[in-house]
Amino acid sequence: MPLTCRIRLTVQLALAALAAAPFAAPAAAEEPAPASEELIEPELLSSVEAAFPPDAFAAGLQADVILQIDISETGAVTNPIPVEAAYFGYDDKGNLVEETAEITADKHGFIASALAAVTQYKFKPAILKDAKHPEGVAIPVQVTWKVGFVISEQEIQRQLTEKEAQRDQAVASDPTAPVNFQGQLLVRGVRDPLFGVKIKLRQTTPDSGLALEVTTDAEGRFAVSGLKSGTWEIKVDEPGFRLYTTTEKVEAAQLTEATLYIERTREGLVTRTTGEPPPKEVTRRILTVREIQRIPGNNNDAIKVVQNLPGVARSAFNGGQVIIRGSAPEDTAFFVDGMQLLAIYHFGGLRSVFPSEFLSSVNLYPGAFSSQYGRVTGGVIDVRTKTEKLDRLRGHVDVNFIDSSFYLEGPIGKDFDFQVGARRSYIDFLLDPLSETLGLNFTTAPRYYDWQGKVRWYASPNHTASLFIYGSDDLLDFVQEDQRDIPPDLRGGIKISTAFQGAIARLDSKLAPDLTNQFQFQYQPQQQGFSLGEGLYFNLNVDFFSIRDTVEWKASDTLTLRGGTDPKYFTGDIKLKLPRPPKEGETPVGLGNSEIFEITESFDPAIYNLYTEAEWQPIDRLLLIPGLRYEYYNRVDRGAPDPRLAARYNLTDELVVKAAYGRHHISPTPDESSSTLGNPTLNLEQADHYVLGAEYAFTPYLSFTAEAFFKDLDNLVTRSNGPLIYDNAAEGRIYGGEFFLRHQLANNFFGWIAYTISQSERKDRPGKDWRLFDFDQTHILNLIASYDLPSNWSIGARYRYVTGSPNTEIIAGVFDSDSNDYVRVEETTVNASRNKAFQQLDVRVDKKWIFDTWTLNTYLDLQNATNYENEEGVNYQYDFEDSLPVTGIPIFPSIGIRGEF
Amino acid sequence: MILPSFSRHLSSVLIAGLFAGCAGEMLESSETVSKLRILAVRAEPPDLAPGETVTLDALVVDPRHDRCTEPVGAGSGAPADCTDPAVVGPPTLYWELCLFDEGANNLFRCGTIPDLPSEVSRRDLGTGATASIAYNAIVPAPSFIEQACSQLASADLPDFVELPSCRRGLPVTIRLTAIAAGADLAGRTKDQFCLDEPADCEIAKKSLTLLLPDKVAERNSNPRLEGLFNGETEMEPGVALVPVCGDDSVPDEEDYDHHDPRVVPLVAPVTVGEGSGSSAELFNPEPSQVDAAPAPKREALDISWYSTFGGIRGSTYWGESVTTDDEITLNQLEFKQHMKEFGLTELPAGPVRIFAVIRDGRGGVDFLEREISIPFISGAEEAVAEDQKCFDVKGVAK
Repeated sequence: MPLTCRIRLTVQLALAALAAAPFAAPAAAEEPAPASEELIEPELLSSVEAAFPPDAFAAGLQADVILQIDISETGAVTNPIPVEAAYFGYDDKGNLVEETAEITADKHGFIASALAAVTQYKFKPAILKDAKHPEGVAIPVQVTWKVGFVISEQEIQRQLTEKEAQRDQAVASDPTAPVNFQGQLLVRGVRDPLFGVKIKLRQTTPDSGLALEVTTDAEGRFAVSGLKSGTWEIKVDEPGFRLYTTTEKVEAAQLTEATLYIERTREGLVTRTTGEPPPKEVTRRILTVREIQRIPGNNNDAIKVVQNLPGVARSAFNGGQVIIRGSAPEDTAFFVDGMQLLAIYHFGGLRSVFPSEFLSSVNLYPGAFSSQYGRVTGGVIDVRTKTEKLDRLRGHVDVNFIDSSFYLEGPIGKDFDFQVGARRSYIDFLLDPLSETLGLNFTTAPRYYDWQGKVRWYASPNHTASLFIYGSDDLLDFVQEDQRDIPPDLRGGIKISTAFQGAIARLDSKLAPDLTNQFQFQYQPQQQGFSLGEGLYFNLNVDFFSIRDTVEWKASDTLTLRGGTDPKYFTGDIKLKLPRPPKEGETPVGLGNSEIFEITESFDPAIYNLYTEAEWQPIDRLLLIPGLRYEYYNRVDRGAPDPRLAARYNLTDELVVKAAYGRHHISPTPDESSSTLGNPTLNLEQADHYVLGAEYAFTPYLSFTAEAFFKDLDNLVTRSNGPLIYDNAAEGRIYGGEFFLRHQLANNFFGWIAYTISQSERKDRPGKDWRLFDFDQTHILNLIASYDLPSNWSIGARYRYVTGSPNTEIIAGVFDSDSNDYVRVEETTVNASRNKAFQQLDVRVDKKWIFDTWTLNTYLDLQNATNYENEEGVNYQYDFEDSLPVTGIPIFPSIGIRGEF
Repeated sequence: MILPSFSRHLSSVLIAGLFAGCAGEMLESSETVSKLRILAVRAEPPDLAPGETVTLDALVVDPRHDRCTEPVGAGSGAPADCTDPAVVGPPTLYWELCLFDEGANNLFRCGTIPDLPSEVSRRDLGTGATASIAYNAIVPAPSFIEQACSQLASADLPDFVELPSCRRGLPVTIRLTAIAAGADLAGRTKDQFCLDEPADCEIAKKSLTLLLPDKVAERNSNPRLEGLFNGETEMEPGVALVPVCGDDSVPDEEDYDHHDPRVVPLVAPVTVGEGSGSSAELFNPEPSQVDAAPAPKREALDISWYSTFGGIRGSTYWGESVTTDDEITLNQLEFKQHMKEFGLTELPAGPVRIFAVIRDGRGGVDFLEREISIPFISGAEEAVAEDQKCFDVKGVAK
């Protein structure tokens, strides 16, 4: 090797950190260069931390390893050779003990670790300037380098204290003797076991000063062998929990058992994941159940909270319609574990159909979502049920103004566990007796109930099977007491019913270390009915059969491939006698002015599809998720491919930028594609979603997200003048931005600010002007905050401000003498006016009493605390010459009590 | 989800409608006629056969006109300004016949299509209290109807045109505009005036079917209201009925309103004679997708009641499904002078006009009006009047 000169540098290295963090500090040249030459020393550009050998660390042993390394003219480290190793540590009394070892024997692993680290160093090479090279030339050099392995003072002190405790422990107990004191450490009230918590014991009678410490295992259990007889003070001082002390009398020859309950003083940051990870998305809002149960105005209902997230518009009367990023409610679908549901809310949006405790998370996908979801052009709400093995019996009973519910979960033997729940409203029981007193003109009020049950079988480490059954039943029955003014055909009141029952069988299999398969089969009969007296009715009975099978192959650390299918088949019949329902943008007309259709039809359509998706990390900070889905609808004999692409790039550890595109299709509704009510040759509606955004994490619990979105809607079904009733001539465009500042549950506080600005427009036919969509809401602001006060009180508030919904102003009425009805005369431009802006403040106060094995929680949930009169609609005089605003729910208190164990 | 979206949408609309209904009690009831109104348009006959002439009339009421022609009293609410030219005379009626109309949003104006001469699309029928026109003046020959219907079915029609059902013939539109006497249009068209001054103008439409020759047998006829009776005594047109005390109209304890001493109930049962042309007729319904040849069906008759003052309740329907005597006797009207509702401390005396309109659901109409004269009642006398049940009126129509 043609070396012009060799220089040895001695480098002093100091490590302030726990392990090595070397840096370059050249001290002196051993062989000085000739005076006519100038040598610029190599400069360390990058280094890696040398791994501290774990055994040595545990033993409190530190080291200095001296190496001789060559730094090439490119700055690379080559040929490192150990020169010297010195070890030092502290004895039991804290005295420094030093040792110099032979470098040939790497006694504790320090030398290997140092060698491994320095070979990854990068230097700026040494530069030699001489007469021949006045500008300087890079040259290889040899230097001496010291890698130090230093343990911090605090850690040394901790280790010494531990050694001392072990000495005491050895005196206080005898590890060779049988266990004579054992127990379990649990969280007071909820009985969650605490892992890795230190329990301190000190003998008080006799006051020997003996003390020892035990650490709980994964189940919160602890045990001491041969504990000396006497009275022992037991103390648990764990951050986030109230200081716990008690005493136990122990006999050396007798087993003493104790269950310790320590009380949580504050909620920590929620990090535990209790469900399976849902599909990765560019935009996914995940809500953890513990947070959202305390949001005011939601009555502990996790799924209702979705309505307070960015991009979700508000439906009138807080109803159950979900309007995501300006899309029509029917363009959004609901799933449980990826299987589609008829509805996620009981009607009126008062409650969701699943209790929060059944769930691990609620996922909202407002746009450009995974190819695993199809038949949707708006958004997706996918609730995930718990999948972790249930280790003990838990449950609750909840009683409030609106309904009562119970929930129970727990293990069945070693290989099974279960969840059951049920809920029933009693507004009908309460309102029936009151209706006469209050002068209400009906005899039956709304009622709903739902039920769930799930059994899981952990058949083997690679196979888990489950059966999930559920049901929901809603009935709204208004019977007018005085029927004299009602035509005979319409006497009997208004009745609306929705019911579904379902069963999902599921098998999760690990076919190979990197290959998994998830299979689900769903059977869901559902019934929907509506009647207005005996004259108008709608009855729909359908049996749904669905399969979802997803195979996932983790091809490498950077590539995961996924593919599957979720075909659906349904069979049913429909009987109706109704006017044709109004389309979006149209105003309903009186029954007297509508053509009444009477239809009896049977149907058995099927939907077939395939989807595939990849998660690819081509470089460290970039994640790409390309996907493709193809869906075929045999009812309209149409199919379409849906390409999807999402990308996330971590600019820094805190800042992520993201973008996504997705094409989505949905078939026309049954009435639109009906051969009797509509046009059976309609095409699929199409939506292209574009998303661009960024996420920034200020702290582990405080984050900010901003997203811009655009949706391009094509082939929308609209009313045509021809005999086919409908065609696909309408189009739409939706654009806006969402901003989400979120403080997760930490430091006794959680809350968020969600703001959406958007515009959703439709063009009903080519050549017509763009107009506002029925559910367009320019500004949607949700402020939510909840704070834990001392003594287990907590207080929360929610404030909402939403731009009023568009409406088409009615400027006059004209009289149709045949139907004896006035018909509205509307402003030419559809949806050119708006209701007044909506605003509402909800407040919630919780008080919890914590007992050892259960908790009792009472709460007051005050909706519309300021009794603000929100305009939800307009009620017109018979001839449309006068009108009054229809106001929303006035101040509405709800008091509840809930016992959990 | 695809399938249920239809009913979900429907449910939400209905729920919203229910809430809306709850909040609407402060708006004026349609049964109280407080401004210029067209309550019914009648065609005699209601279906027009070739060679026939139709006569049109209407029940048009302007209560402000009453206040200048009758003594100021109960029916007035407040004294009218009888120097105002808008209230001193009866309203002016403008009759038009349209081959088809442009829909409610265009005030039922006569529609035109390029290939059709405007004199065919629209005919001016004058400004009299009644109007008439002959079948042959509307269409040159019955064959024109079949031709027009087939052309309409295949034509690229404007947005406002709804494809008519031509099974029995061609439905045409009678358009009536009523404008209060003395109204100053000030250079505005009638339609613009109606939009600007809704209290002084009303627009109404009625369908009239020009029958095909082979469908004349399926023609409809107007139902007939034969009169309103007080007990066995017929209430004469133009003669006000003064209520007298009666013994057999004990207030219903279940009726919430009767606990309010300011309510004065007047009950007048009305029946329509069964049989003959004045009762519900059998007719052939329009075929549907479900039933191409539906069985004959009986008409569902509908009576609507109106009054110029006070509250009124009691429209009644009956048809094929309601044929029992009990149901027919439900056809009664309950007239209330609800002083509290109107913020009055005393009930002024005076005439109240009561109107009944019967419809058969197929274009057949009849109507009548009668008058009740309410004696003066002060707030202090109400309780006495209630106890003596002086304001119960019974009547039978035959």
